[in-house]
Amino acid sequence: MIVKIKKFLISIIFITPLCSVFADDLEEMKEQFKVLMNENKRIQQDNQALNEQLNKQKKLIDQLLDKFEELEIKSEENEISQDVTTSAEGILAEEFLPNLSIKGFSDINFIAELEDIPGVNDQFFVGQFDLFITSPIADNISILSELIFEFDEMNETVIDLERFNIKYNFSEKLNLRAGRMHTPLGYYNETFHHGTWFQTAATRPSIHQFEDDGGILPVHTVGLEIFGVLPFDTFGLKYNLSIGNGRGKKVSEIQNVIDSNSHKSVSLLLSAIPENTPEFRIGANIHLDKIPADDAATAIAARKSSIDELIVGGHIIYAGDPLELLFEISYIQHDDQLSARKYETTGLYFQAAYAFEKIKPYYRFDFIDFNNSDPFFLTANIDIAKHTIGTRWDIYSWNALKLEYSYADRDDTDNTQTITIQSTFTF
Amino acid sequence: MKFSLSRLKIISLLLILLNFCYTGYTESLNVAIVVNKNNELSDVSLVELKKIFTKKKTRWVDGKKIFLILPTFSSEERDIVLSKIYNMNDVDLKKFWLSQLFQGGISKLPKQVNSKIAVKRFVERIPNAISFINLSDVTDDLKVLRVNGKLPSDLGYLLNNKT
Repeated sequence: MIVKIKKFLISIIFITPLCSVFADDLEEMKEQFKVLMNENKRIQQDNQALNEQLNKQKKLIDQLLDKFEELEIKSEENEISQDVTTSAEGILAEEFLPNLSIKGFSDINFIAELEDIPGVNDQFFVGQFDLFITSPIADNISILSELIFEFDEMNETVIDLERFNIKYNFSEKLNLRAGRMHTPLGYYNETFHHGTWFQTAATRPSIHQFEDDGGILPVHTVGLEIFGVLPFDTFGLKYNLSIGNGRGKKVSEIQNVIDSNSHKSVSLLLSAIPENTPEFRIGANIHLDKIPADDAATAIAARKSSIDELIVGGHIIYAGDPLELLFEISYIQHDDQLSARKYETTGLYFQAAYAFEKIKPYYRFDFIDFNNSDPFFLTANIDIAKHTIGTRWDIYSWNALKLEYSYADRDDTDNTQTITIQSTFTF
Repeated sequence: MKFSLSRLKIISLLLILLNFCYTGYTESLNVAIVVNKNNELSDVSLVELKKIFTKKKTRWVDGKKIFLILPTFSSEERDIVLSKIYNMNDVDLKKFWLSQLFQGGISKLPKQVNSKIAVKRFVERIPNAISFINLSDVTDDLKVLRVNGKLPSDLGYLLNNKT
């Protein structure tokens, strides 16, 4: 027990001085800590002041940016307003200057005959180079022309003014057109002209071929046309009534300036178009003409007299997207004034197509049944039943590629199998 | 693996809830058909609107020529008009105008503008003008037409991104 007390007392003696040393260090540390704390406080206060200053500057910058944006918008608005005011004043004052616009259409083709036909070779050919020129010359008057550069069978350049007319628009119900135009002979002839880019297939239906391509309908007329749409409750009745110079002495002749007889052709086309389904239409057409006699030395005897022509047609059309269904039929009657004989020719086509985005496969059936004795059609009258399948690929907005195969069963002559590859475009 | 009826009910309920969440999340956008304040027309059917916007109808009731203004800049309201009125995409619309020109149906393309301000200014200044803008951009200087009897703010309005 005494030993323990002694040990305790000895340890007290040694620890006490040590404690005083530690106590001094502790005080010093406390002092230093206080200094650091004060420094920290000061820095924090400085930071706060800086932060407040930064915030003020940030607010100022934001205000300046908003003001700048406001001024930019006002300046843009003023500029646009000035432009609009100038344009609007011009429009309100009915100030009108002719505004010529030229659009181009053309196609490049390759045709291969799979059957061996004497004199017919696989070939590249440039299609019609079509300059489509329009110009409004007043608020309701416009000029339209279609100038075609093409190559004939002799590889010579031919220039054709296929359409050239002036149109007066009085209302949706009444328009007047004068000049050279497409005869109102059904849907295809009214809708598709010389630019192949618009039509689905590479080739026109056989019944609607142009006169200089062996077509049998009077596709073009020089004369007057009134047309419009008459509104009814659930449908609109589209009408076209034309009077023109009529046919020339030959199938390919279009009477642009000289009418060989005093008779005029008359055409009437009516189409009913439902209000809720404007893609659909059903209609009929009638065309009357007197074909002049051909007094040329080379003309056959049967053409020495005039021929009364009656064409009656009908159409059922669904031209929608993606589905397209076209059906048209034409009946042509020629009443020979010399022999008093009547000759009847019937032609029709049916086309179906369905668009899968940019790819549009199609099928068409063409049929023409000639009266083989018809003196007006003697050079053209080969009955034909033709199947065509193809695909249109709109590779770019204004350029389409068409690949087409057709099999034509022609009476009294070789059948043909033709591959057509066509690049058609507008520019 | 066969699903029990209760599990099927739970999945159906979840799908319905997700659909509501998605629908609720999509902000509503209404396209206003606007005309000049002096235009007497106040209501137009969708069929008539289609005719006006495709230039099949070219005159107002008073015989004055309709001045169609088409915004060309990309916007959700333009997408709605392309879908609901034209039923075409942008490229098909350009092709449509070109074919109308080619067939002689129109003599010039409709006036095209490339800003909301230009749309508003043209419609304000030209008495026969008609165009379309986002309902939120309509000002007091424009007149909004009813379409099939409904204003853009009415339930069942056709030209929006919900119907």
